[in-house]
Amino acid sequence: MKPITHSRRDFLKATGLSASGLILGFPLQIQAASQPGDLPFEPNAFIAISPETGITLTIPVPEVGQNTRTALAMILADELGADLQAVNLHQAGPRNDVGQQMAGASAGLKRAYPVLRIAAASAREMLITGVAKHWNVNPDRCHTDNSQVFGPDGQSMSFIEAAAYGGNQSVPNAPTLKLASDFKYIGQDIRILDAQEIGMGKTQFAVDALPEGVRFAVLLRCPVLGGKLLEFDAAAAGKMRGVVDILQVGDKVAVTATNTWIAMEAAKRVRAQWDEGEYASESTKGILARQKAALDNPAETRVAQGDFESAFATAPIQLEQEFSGPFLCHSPMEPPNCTAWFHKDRVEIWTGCQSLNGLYEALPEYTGLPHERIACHQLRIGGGFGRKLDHDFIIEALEIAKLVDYPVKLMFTKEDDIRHSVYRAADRYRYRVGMDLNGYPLALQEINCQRARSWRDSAFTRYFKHAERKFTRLDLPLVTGPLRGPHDNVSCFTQHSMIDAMADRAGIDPLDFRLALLGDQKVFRLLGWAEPPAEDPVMANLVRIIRDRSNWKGDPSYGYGIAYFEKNQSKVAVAALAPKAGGSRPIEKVFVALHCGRIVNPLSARAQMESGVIDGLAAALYQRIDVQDGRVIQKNYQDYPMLAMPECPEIDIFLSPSEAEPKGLGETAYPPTMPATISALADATGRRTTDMPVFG
Amino acid sequence: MLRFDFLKPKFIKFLFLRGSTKDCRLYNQKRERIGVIMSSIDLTINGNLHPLADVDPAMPLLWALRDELGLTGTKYSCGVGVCGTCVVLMNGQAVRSCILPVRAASTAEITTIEGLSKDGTHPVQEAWIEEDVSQCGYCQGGQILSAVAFLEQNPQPDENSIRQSMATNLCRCGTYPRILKAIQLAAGKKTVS
Repeated sequence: MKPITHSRRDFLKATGLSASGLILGFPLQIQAASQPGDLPFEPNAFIAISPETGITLTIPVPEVGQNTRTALAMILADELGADLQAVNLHQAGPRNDVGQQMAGASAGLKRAYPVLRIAAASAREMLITGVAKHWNVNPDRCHTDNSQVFGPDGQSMSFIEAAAYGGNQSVPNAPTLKLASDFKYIGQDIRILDAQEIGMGKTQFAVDALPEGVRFAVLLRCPVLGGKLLEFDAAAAGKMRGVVDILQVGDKVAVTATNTWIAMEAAKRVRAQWDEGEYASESTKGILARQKAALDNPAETRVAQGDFESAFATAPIQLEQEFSGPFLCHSPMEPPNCTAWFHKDRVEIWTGCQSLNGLYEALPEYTGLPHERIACHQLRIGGGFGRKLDHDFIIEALEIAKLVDYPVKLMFTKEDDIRHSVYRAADRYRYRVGMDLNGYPLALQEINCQRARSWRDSAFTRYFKHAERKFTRLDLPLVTGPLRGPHDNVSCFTQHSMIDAMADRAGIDPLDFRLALLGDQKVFRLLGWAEPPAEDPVMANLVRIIRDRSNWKGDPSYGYGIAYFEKNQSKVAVAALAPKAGGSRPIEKVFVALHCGRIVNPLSARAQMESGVIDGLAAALYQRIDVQDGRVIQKNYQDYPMLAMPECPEIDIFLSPSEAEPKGLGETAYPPTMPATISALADATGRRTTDMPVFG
Repeated sequence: MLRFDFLKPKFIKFLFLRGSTKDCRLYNQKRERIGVIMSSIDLTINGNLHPLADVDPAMPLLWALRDELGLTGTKYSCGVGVCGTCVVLMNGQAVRSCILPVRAASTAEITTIEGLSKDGTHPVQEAWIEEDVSQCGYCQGGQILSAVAFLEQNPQPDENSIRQSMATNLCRCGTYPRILKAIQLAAGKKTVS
């Protein structure tokens, strides 16, 4: 495919990029997008149509396996009236004219959906107007379908031909969007468009970029965070055949070689002396002691509502419990990597980065070059889970590439990936809860050791008239950052474990107890509660769906566990079933009910639910990162296990129909699977795990 | 330490140690003394002969495929033979190319994912599309080839034997339910989806 130029693209401007969401502003002035016959027809930054390009959609959002590429192609095809199979996909590198370019916070599709619909509807109206003029017919009586414009008297013209007439039309100010009833693709099960190429090994991932003359690099980093390189002896490594350069890069040593294996072997032979610095005595045990001390004397207090202390003091039932989650790392199958090549006056970069808006902003600083001298190619990402939101691996590759005159591919070995990650922070939560004799929640205190996302907006405090939250932000010996559902993937476990403890103490079934918390009329009245603690009919409905589909507590040979989770208006409820007799699968069945607005591609939505469940099971059952002498102990999949196929449960998924705008779903099933799993095992065995993971 | 404290590029100095011809000779002499010599190896990959000159015979096949021959369909992940991402077929058997010395592959017929079929129409490849297996897709080449080798030996497998045979093919995205269905489909045992 011919590369698409960036000309004429700057009239579609992203006017607001914020952490909370994207507001993409279309300029009010109407301007000609291109001259008659000027091809390709590029009505905006997303779409190009010409005989050379075909119908090409620029995909702004990084593809990490969430299948945004297919979903965006479906949206384009529907609004434009194109044949889905005829849409070519062009993966955008970091840019400033295509809006949100992040695969994170479950937001990729959610943010792109409204923008792309308007972009595609604009293109449709321009094509129709242009062709209608040529035919001398009323444009209101024309329509598009199957990549063609159809006229009132049986005329038709392919989009490729029509592109020549669409270009001289003004960009519509407020194009008319299609009705959902006219969607051909959105809402249907559409298989991943890249499937055949992936199955043939043709798909280019970031790691597959091999520019002419590329050398392969591995970095030796201090095993302790923040350590300084004192000296190193590269004599033995330097003698290895195939080693090209051994370079000091800040406090790291880079080995470049004619292939990755030689670089890895040579790096093992570099003898480095480190000043390991302030974290060298850190350990998992030491962190636990500091966490406990921090829970006793939290640094900050915020009152969510009411007066916790007096309400707790007078509560007929008082509970106090602690729960914790360990450090985790993402460990995607494709370890972080980046290829960079400094030419005389420009740089070329090949990578797979989840946060391209941030990368665009930062590249001039990282490279020392202005944007026009930077070419950054974004390739498919072999798994991200938040790891590739960070730019550390891109910065490191650039640091090495600056020192040499050949292209360098920096590869993290799996050991590097696990030992130099951006970890999900270990955290510990202490709860004090007061209830009345009917189990009605009265007072809550939640204390933890990392910064809470928001003081007032806790999934838990909403059930209590008197609630306060306290925290201390501990300095940790590992770099910490987002991992699938950050902020929530420890607290969802701790909060639902506490809800289970409350239900247990009050003698109420944990599912019924949750229905009462969520305001299910029938249930909270039966429990003798005067009013519901909260009203969340959508979540309550998901819980009822799960109850019915799982035949809740209907089979005495299973232990049952339930939890739910909400993020950015996506809601999901999960039930897990653990066989009491044990067996090869700790959890045999999982039931998921999801409500996340309109589901663009149910087949992909199910895949994301399956993914979140399987990921959540591994985290609940096995995964932990430990620190000893300041170093991460785990090093590969043997001691940092993934769930494997023999343990994979049957997963039943219910997708709740909705006409609302799509919300995110990539993260949603992960957090609640952990508490549901642990509760199911507690129900099956009578022993409850308070510190994840179960088998660790 | 805060996340972004760590992102400041810093160059103290850099040391330049380009491997000279003399160094290489010394290295080779040492390698010869301990019984390892660089050699030329011919690999037969997807029916084509690929001569590799001057290669350490202990180097895993994976890196010969990816870095020397540019056959990047075979992927690196764990490097120690536990995840199955790098699986290729050697005389029809699934082997882990990240731990298979290139010398051990020299007399064999190697099939990588690029060579499984000309046009992606191997029944296992088709089943993978039909069941919409892939998420990120990185491990799927190894998964498909492992399934191909397994089905050659077990044309009518039950669910448990599929699960066991795929036990060391990890997928971080969690595509196992669909891999299971795709293998059942390829084996002619359609299940209700």
